[in-house]
Amino acid sequence: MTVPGSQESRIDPQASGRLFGTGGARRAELGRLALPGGLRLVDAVLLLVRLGMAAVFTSAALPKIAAPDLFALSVHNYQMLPPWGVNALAVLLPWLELVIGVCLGLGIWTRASAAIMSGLMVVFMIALVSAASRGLSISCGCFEVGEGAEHPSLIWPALRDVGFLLGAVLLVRFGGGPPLHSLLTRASQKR
Amino acid sequence: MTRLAMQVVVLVAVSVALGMASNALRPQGIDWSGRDPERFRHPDVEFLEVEAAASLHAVSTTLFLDARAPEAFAAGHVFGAVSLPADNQETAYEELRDFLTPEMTLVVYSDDSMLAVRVAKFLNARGFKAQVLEGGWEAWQDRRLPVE
Repeated sequence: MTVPGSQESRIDPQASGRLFGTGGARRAELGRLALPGGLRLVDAVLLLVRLGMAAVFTSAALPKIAAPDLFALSVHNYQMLPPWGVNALAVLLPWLELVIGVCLGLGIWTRASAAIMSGLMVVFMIALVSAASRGLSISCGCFEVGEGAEHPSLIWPALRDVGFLLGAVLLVRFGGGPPLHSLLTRASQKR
Repeated sequence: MTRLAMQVVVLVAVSVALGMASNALRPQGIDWSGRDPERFRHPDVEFLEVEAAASLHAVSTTLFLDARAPEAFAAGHVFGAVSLPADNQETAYEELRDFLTPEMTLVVYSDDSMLAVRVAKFLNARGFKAQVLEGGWEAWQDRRLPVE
């Protein structure tokens, strides 16, 4: 069973076998499992991952867009970029996070958004590990900026980003499940 | 793959356009020319462009203060500068206070503008007129201004 408009999700039974583990027709059957409402299990999983990542990126972007000067300070504290690079990144990065967060939420250009997200996660992890290795006592600047931002160990955000990277790679490889408009269409058809 | 790359480019371009537009429309937009973000955090501290600082350098009532660690100061500093390390500013200030007058223009610099700001605020709170050199030691060196 396929979902109208779900062309971004191209999981075939064999691919789903790779997704959930190594080989076997039994695991490949997971790709054909349908949930109540006709949504395939793999599509539901991808949809959850996609919406989760969309929520993460959108919520990360908004405080930075509201206070780019404070975010610039967070970037500055990593001591990895020249001032012009700090300011440019502080202005542009939050909007990139918002754009791909919205695209993921709506299911538009999911693979491209997830590809950018993957790249960002790698960059974030390098910055976090670099700052931690230099003993910097700074706030991550990931979700909060300014004086109220906490200064936990930078290793935890780096580990968290590993999880986000895995999610992003999953979306690049398999797509993000049905886009929002197809879900809405399905809901209206059921009524 | 080409389609994916094209979509990535479009998403990045849209984000850049939105970021630039929002910054242009914001009354307190960030200066793209590379101003130190510390100045956003401390509007009460006056920052000084390198060119302006270089002009002041020749004035006899101007004193440059180096907020870096003593080892960094010993390795090289602005010509005529005096060490006032931020990590030990109270002690260093006690040694310097007899030489400082409120009429002097104090220019504080460092590698890390946060340190320079800390020293400038410390001095301003004691009735002096301290400004922070934007870009710090690196900017001074880049312009090949006098060092020793």
